[in-house]
Amino acid sequence: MSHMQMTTKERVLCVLKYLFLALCVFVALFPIIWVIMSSFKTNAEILSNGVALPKTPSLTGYRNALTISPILNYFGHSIIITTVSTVLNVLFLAMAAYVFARCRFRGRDVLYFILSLAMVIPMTALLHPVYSVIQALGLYDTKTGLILVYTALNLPMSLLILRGTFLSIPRALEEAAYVDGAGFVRTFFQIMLPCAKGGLTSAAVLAFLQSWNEFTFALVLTSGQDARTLPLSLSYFTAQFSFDYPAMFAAVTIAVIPSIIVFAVFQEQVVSSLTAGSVKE
Amino acid sequence: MASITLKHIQKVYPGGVKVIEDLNLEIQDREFIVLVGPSGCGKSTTLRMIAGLEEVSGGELYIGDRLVNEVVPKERDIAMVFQNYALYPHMTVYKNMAFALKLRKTDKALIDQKVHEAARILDIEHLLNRKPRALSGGQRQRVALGRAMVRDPKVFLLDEPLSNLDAKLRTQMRTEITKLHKRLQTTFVYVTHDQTEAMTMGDRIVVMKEGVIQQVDTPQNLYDAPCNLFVAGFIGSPQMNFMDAQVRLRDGKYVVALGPYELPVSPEKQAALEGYDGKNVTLGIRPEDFHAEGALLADGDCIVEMQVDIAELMGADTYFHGVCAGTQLNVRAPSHIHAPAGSLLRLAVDCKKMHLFDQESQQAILN
Repeated sequence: MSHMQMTTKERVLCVLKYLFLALCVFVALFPIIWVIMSSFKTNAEILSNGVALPKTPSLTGYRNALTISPILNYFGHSIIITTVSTVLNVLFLAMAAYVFARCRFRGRDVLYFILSLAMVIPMTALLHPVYSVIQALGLYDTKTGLILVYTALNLPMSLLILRGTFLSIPRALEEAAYVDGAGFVRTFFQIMLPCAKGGLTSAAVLAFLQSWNEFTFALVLTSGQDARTLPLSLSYFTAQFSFDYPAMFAAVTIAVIPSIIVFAVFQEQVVSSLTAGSVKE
Repeated sequence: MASITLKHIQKVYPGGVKVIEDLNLEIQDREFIVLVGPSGCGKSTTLRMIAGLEEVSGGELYIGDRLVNEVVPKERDIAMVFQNYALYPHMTVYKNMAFALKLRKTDKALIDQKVHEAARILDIEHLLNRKPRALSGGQRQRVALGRAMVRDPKVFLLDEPLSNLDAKLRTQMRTEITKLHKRLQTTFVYVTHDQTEAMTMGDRIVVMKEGVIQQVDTPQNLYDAPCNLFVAGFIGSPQMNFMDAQVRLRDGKYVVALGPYELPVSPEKQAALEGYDGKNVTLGIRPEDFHAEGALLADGDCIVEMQVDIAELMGADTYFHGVCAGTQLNVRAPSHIHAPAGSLLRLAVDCKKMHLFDQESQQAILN
């Protein structure tokens, strides 16, 4: 009897657990699926029945998206700005993180603390100072300006991940390289960087996603058509008098697909290296 | 090939922790020297100073005739084998071994020849295209040795290279490293905490404790004539037996009183006991210097009796653990000797192999 009761109770718990998980997945995925689905509908369909499947899926939304806004242009800018800032971010922070992980110097911990502190400062608080600096440097409305800002914005996270990664690599590896005849720089590039591949990938992915989706700085630091990024193209659709929802959703779909691909490909490495390194040493 | 000279070497870590205070050591060219001691005795630090991986805080360190205190590792012409192998995980075995030669801009054909030669000697030729993670512990250790070998360094430094291997493999690699030394004719400095490795491999052994060299000698001399209690206890397995005893003068001759027994001291060693009459000393006798059969027992000069607690059959030998004159004793006897737990075992002490230590200074009085 008691055995039966236990299994019934367990079964109920199990069902509840899966229901809860299903709810979580639904909450997380619904907006994305809804947007993608709606991008194949017509305006009238969306306004009459928001959640129904498209009657006759059409690509009109996508066609309109390309004509209403300079989305392809912005897509190109986004690719350049995001890629360059990600590469710079990972390259410089790998070097910094290595020094923080390995070298002993006065004020190291204080410096590390200050750099990590950037993580808790809200981005909007930085808006005005960054604007002034970029303006003063003459980089307003340039790709270089955004690249610089994005490289710096992702600093704390990358530093955290990469320092953890380097700490988890045994010191003997570098010592072996020194004894083998490598200097500091060669040891870093030829031995340590390849060993830190996991951390580098996850730092790069996170930096990429952050820069790709960034809206506020892109809006404030650009004005013309030369440096605006993909998230800004979305404003074209709400700013119009006619609400072209399918076109807007098509643009959103175009904007999120690269992020989804990048994350899907490297997901495992990102998750594992976010937890690794924090435990060792 | 080179000698290594350490003169008044000091090592102080930041925060003022003195690990090594005043270390002096001459390592001969082509010698296989083993630094041995318990963990924290400074043996690895010493090795790392020779490698240039730790700064020397004071004193002078020479490799050959060259003062190398300020010389970076890559210019010392040394090779090092690490405890955890430290193979580059992203490179194949071949690339691991070729790395150092490549940095020296060695000709490609020569690199290839050297790598293959080392791989052949170490029997890892079939593994050259593998990555380290696809190798077993023993194979990794061979690669690490190979990486050191290809460079023909002046000095080979080995930091506990066998401690990550299982017991069987360790024994096998031990002989291989010894053979390698004979073959390469290079100076080897080997660090271990395992006295068996030290005894079996070294031309000379340096026994260290708390940053101070206790004794430097050949394995045989260390075993036969340890200079103090620490060395006596550290070298030899099973450990030497230590007992509280007293030196007494009997009919003009010194004897060692152990509980109810009086053990004679051989005539040539009498002089060493001058002034010790009535003093308490520590008597040291190795487990194999008790005899449960044979001529010594028949002589009846130095007989003690031990109450047997446990007999452990090891195969060729049996270890008897028991109590004699109120002290725990370990005795090693041939396995045909039988003495059940609780029985009394009559033992003759080989008095020529008795060791006496001063209880205050812990130094050997006679060996």
